[in-house]
Amino acid sequence: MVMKRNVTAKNLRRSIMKSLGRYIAIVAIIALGAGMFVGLLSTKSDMIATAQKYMDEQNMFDLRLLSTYGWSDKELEEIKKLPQVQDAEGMIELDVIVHRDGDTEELVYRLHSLPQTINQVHLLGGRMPETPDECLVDGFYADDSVLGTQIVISDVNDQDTIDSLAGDTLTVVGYVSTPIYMDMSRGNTTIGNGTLTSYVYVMPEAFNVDYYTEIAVTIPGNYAVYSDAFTDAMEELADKLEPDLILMAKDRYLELKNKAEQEYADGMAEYEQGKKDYEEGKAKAEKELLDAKEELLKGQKELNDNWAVLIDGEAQIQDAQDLLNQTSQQLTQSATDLADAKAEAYEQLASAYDELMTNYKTVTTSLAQVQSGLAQIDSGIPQLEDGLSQLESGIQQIDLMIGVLRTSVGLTQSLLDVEKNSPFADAQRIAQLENQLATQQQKLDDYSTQRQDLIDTQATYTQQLADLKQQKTQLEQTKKDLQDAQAQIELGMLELESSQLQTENTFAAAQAKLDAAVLQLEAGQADLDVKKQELQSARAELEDARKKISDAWVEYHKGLNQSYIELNNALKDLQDAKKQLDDGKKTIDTMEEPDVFLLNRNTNAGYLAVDNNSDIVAGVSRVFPAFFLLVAALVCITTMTRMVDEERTQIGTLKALGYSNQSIVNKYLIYSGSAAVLGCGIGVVAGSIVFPKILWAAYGIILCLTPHIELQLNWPLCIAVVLAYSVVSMLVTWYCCRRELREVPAELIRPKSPAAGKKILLEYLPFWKKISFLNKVMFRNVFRYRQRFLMMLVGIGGCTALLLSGFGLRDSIVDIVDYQFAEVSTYDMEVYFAEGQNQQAQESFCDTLRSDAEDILFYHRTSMEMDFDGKTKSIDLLAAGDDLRNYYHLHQGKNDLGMPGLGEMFITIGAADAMGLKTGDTVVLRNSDMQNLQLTITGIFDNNVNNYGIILPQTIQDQWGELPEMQMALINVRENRDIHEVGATIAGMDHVMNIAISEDIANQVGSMLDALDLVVITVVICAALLAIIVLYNLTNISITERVREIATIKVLGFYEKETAAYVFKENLFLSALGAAVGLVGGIFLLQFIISQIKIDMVWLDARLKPLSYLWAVLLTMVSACIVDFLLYFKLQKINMAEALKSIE
Amino acid sequence: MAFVEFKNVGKVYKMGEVSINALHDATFTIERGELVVIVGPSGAGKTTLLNILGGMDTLTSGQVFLDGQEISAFNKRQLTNYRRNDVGFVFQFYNLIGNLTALENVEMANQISKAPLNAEDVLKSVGLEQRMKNFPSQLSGGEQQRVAIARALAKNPKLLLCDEPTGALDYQTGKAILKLLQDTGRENGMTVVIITHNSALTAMADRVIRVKNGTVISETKNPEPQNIAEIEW
Repeated sequence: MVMKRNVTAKNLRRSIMKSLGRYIAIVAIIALGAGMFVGLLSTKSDMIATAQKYMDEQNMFDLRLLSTYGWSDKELEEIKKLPQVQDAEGMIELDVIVHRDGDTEELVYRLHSLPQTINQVHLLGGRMPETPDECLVDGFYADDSVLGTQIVISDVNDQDTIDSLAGDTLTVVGYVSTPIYMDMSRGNTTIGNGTLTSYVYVMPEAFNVDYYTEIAVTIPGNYAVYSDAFTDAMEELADKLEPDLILMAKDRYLELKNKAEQEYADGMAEYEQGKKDYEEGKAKAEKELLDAKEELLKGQKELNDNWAVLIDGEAQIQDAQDLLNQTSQQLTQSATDLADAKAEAYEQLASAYDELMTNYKTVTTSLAQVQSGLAQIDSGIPQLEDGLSQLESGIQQIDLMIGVLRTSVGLTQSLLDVEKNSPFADAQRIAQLENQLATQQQKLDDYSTQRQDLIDTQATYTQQLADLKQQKTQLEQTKKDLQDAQAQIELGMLELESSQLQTENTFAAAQAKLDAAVLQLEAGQADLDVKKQELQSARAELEDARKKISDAWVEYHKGLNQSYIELNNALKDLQDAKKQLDDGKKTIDTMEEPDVFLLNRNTNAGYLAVDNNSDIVAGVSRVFPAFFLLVAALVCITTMTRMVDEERTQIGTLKALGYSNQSIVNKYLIYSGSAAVLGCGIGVVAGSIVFPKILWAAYGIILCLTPHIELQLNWPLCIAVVLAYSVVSMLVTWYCCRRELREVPAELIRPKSPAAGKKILLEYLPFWKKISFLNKVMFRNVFRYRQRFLMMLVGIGGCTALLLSGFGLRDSIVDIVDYQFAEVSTYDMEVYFAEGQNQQAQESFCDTLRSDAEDILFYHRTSMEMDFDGKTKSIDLLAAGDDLRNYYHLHQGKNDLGMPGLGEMFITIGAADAMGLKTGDTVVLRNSDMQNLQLTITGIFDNNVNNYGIILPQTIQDQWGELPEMQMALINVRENRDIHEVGATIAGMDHVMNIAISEDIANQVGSMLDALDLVVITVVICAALLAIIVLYNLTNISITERVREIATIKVLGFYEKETAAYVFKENLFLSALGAAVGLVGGIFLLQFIISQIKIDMVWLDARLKPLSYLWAVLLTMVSACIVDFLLYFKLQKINMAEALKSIE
Repeated sequence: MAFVEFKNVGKVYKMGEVSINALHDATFTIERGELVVIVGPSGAGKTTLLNILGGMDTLTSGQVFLDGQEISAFNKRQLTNYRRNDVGFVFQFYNLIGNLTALENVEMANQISKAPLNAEDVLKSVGLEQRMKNFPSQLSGGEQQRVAIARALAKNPKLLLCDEPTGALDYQTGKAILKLLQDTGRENGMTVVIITHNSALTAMADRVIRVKNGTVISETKNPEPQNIAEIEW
């Protein structure tokens, strides 16, 4: 026995080792299938467990108690004492408009008081607040960079809100997650655009209120979240609590009402007192004013009198001054005259003197001249007398000479005559004597002339002498005259000097008189100046007084006005107070009975979102892994079947040797069983860890709890999978073995008679003959072995289908926002106003944007709870006119829906599907003020993102009595304008709170859907892996089965490539065929998967892009090629000697 | 020079640390056109010898020549070409491709060789004129072996190697196959080598090579080979 078992064990081990590739492939396929199955299935439970643990640790509420008038400590204590309640805590929350520092965008945040025990926050980073101006923010949108930033309470909040807060700025010190916001939705509000952006936790001291807005309650007992038992327990408690709560609320209501009435009464008393005070004050003020006026008038009169006196004095002074001026002028004139006279007299004296002096000088000069003339004459006379005597002597001499000459001439003449008459007359001597005669004649003539001249000169001298003697007489007369004149001038000089003296005396007397007069005048002026000075200071005083009086008047009038204003204000205040009191009274009178709400966890969006999202995983895991498991199982079963077939002779031999059927079967059972156990074991453990981790990481994009998923090995599921898989695998193996073992050993030892060769359908086609032998073999191989053919088709087709649906899932999800904005909501941007816009504001808004916007539509948008058939869902309600069709393309398939009528609503397909709504159903919508709308669904339109309903504004007017406020606008931007620039313009306009540009939202939401993208990538990778393993396994088997054949063709001289082609052609053909089948299957698989995925806010259409088909086929073919490449080496190793062996 | 010449051929298989001396000092010659029977008991080295002669395996020592070419010096590719063009194989278990008809099996072989014979003619010559369109599974063992012989002949090889061609056949059919081989050799002047453990077949051979304990123990020429019909065993 021991021996036998050893041999069997050895045989088994050898079997495994011989075909290690096959064994590993089987293990891997099973591991992948089981891993994905268990992994995805346990992801749901892990997510729920994580959520449960998180909610338990944070002690999430079971019930929220709300009342229209809030709660006080009194009620809280009472509720705490209730036996059905485990714990209760009062919470304060307040919705405020804020902006982050450095940013002007206004956001609506919900401020929560930091709880002590219930709904505790989970600190993700930073620290807890220590002072009332510190806060914790929403961890979903925060990281460490948010620490230290500030949140500023905007002053656009209404006064009540601002009064309810202790400070106006909060410093962020940490970021948290909280069980009440586990998903991305932050809820609705009645302020701003109606949607909360985020939440903030502050210490209760940061609130300035004396009530709780809600009381959170926990119930005893450990319930599984999302279980019916839990829901029942919560509802049961709610039912039990409700009557008590209503009573408490009513008490509080009455108390508040009484208090209010008391306050009203006090107010009224105060008002009356105030009114009385007012009347008194008014009378007093009026009297005071009157007194003041009288006094002022008196002062005014006095001033006027003084003023008159002053004017009089001034006139007198002026007269005196005039007189003085006149006198002064006269004096000046006199002085001038005197000076003139003086000057004239001096001038006359001077000219007389000058004349005298001139005459004197002339006389003196003339005298000198006369005396010099006399002297000359006196010297001339003797000279002349001298001259005359000389002349007489001269004449005598000449007369002598003349006588001599005349004798000489006569002698000469005689000689000459002698001579002449002489006959010896010598000629020379005649000429000489003639010459001598001429010369003597000449000399005689000259002396005669000289004598004449001297006689003339003697006459002249005689004349001159006579003249001189006459002149001398004259001059002596002149001298005498001149000396007389000189004496006379000297006399005149004396006279002149005496006259000058006389004149000087006269002038000096006149000047002295004038000087005295001037002195007198100056004294008068000085007198006058003093008086003037006095008057001037008097005038200044008076002017001062006048100014004071006029100031006093201004003051008086101002005072008068002031008191009127004050009095008016006081009156107005009084009237306001009265009005407030009246209003208060009205409010008190209309104070309604309190409403009480008991909300359990199922009303919390995040609580439901965790469940919903885990359902998505469950939805995917319902289809994918099952399909996976199916493919894996099929592949394993075939593998085992063929293994048993392969070892047929061995089985026969063993049987012939006497081994019992059981011991033979055991080998195969252990082979398949161990592969199944091993594969499943690895699969379930790895899958339970890997898949939840990946998916939880992905869900971190849309859920905010804790970053670590609660990994739970789902033992029952794991064991069930391992057991089921092993059992099925072993059963199949057993069945295959049984089939073989039924035959007798002799039959078994012989090779199984080959399958009957027969023609395949293709051969009847005309082109068959043109096909090469290799292809013929391929086609026959492909089509004649149906089991293998089907196996390949299912295996490969399955992988292709998985790949295609993976890609399709991606196509359907990733661009969903693009589809939304391209096919449904076609507007460019949405504008949120701080308040409803009236007709005028709308027109001015449109005017401003005339050049930027193609068209603009104002509409109303609000968040509502929709009730139908016991289910509640939060949807957005859009109330807009018919023009909405320019911004939303409402269609169902290719059918255009138009717009809803009065009392009708169109709703998104996602919301309709989630609620099970059909056209014609009637739903009730309620807002946060608990107002209801009854609407009939008349259209369900295709829409991918968000859930909303569309109605006409008139519908609201019909049911609530007034048109909703248009606090939103849709805008289509003109084609040539940049959307973001226009957006920036609009964001800067008055009343605009913020804007949402479709393009940007598409990007944001797109990144949100990355969560599902990761799921898809996981699926695609697994499918590709599976494809490779399946192909490897199938090809490996088909090679193993055909070793002889391959060895034979090698012996026949096929080259290596020809051999490979011989084997792999078939493989590639089958892969291609499988891929084709897989494409068809993939389309259906995708549609099925999409129908299984239900995501809140998102509606998926099965969409496939051409590229996805290509990728699916390409990946399949690439897998086939990879497998062929790996097995090419195996082919090379096949020994040709195999061909010589007998068939085993 | 002889058509086939084995010179001191040795073959050692190494399996891990164990060395198996499958063949050593095997020396013999074969002349063109001869029908040679290589005979010996199981495990004597017949198959190794055949593998080496058929170019399916390499040798460890010695030399092999065929028609003047040294086969023992061929590389893998040359060996494949050698098998493809120069050698025809007939296997004990026929080794037909199950998914091809008799004719197609023959055609497949002659498709890859250089100077093939007409497939239908060859099938006619082996007496399968009526069964050409049949798949192997529709043929008897003898018919299958005829197809296999036809497949080998169609390549018009220099050498026809037959490994226990009658091993899986009954006596009469075996005889018929052997006759076909003998006749074919004689008619075409083809060199035919038959490997068998049946000593009775030596009578039909032109040359008998006896193998024992991994070596050739004798090489005898049969001056008067008998007709196969005359041999009984």
